[in-house]
Amino acid sequence: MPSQSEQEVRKGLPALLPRMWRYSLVLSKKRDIADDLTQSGAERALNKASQYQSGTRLDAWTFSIISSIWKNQLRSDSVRRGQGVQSVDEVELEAVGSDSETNIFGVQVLNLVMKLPSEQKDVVFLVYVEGYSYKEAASVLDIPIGTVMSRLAAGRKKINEAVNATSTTKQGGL
Amino acid sequence: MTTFTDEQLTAFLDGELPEAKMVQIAEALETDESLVERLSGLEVDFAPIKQAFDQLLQEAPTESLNANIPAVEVESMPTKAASNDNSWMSYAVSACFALAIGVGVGRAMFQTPPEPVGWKGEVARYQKLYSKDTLATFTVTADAAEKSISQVSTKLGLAVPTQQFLPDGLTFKRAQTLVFNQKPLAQFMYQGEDGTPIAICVLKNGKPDQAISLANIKGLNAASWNHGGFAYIAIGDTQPEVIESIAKNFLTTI
Repeated sequence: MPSQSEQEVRKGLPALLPRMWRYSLVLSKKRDIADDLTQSGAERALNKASQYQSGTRLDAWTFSIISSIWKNQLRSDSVRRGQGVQSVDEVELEAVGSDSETNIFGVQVLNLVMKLPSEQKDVVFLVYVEGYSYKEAASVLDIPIGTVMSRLAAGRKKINEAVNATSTTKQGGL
Repeated sequence: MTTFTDEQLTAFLDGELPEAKMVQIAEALETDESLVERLSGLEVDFAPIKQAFDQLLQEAPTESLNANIPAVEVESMPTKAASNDNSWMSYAVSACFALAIGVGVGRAMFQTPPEPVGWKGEVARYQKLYSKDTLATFTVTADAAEKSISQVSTKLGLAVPTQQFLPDGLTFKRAQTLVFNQKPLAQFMYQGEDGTPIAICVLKNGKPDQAISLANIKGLNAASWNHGGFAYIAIGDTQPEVIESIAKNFLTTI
């Protein structure tokens, strides 16, 4: 007989899959990796369902699992390659051509966040897209709240600068 | 004067400070111009960003993920998120991902599968972003038009005859290079007399010549053909005979 926690995880997981995938895509910037990362996260969530604390935010719990898997993956990749953490491929989210309208309509908007340094990107996404409190984001990423604040401040500043730079060079509209 | 850190100002913007500190900063902002300036350097409108990211949810391969996860209660699967959202961002983000990445439509589980998913479908999707207002204030001089057409032509690898490239009754608005499946996709954008945006797009495909054929793609009328190893499409929210005439007119210039 599954426990209350296990039942909640099994019941709640399907509805979370799109958000888990999106978070995986934000972390990895690659769709195929996001697919795998989401699946690994979901499987681990099911396997560890008994550890889920009933009544707490299931989404935050699954996100912390995904975050943990991703960090471990980066670490092992780094060890395997004998070099620092590999910078992710920007191509999959990048618009082509500075005058392309794709910049204006969508990719540029996403890139405001996606082109931040990864530690800023991840926390900016959790707080401003997912709507987590500082405390929740800190818990998902397993970092202190002070670090969340400094990363958000740095992220905000960079996005602000990028938006202003864009509006300066794009005067004249479409 | 009390100084505040960027972290505190950020937390102020996010409403994450204790009440007393919130009040303290709010009061300081009334008199301290440099603080106002610093705060404005941290301000970001996250609404469009969140909206763009929310559209990504529709790209999630939920079915395949769900199928690969054992013992998940399929019956509680959510319906497609925001599938009725026809905002510009909805189209924009999908179009951007499809055009810039060459991925997306096939995997995004749209519930109306008969839609074209090739380059014509993507062009149509993109074209739907344009309204009569989109290009209304966009003016271009003859020199600038010639230059931009020339640049796009170069990237495309096709010498577009600039001088003849003005279909009757249309005003040239812009030329730009997009990308479909890592290939340059030239877009020449015009506006009809009533302001209707009409595009002619060209993609190198190396296929044999094919006569003009008409179709309605995503609610837009389109005429497409192949010529000299390039695929063409004229498309817009106007009458099919208008589109056909533009296509024929254009074909005679190349």
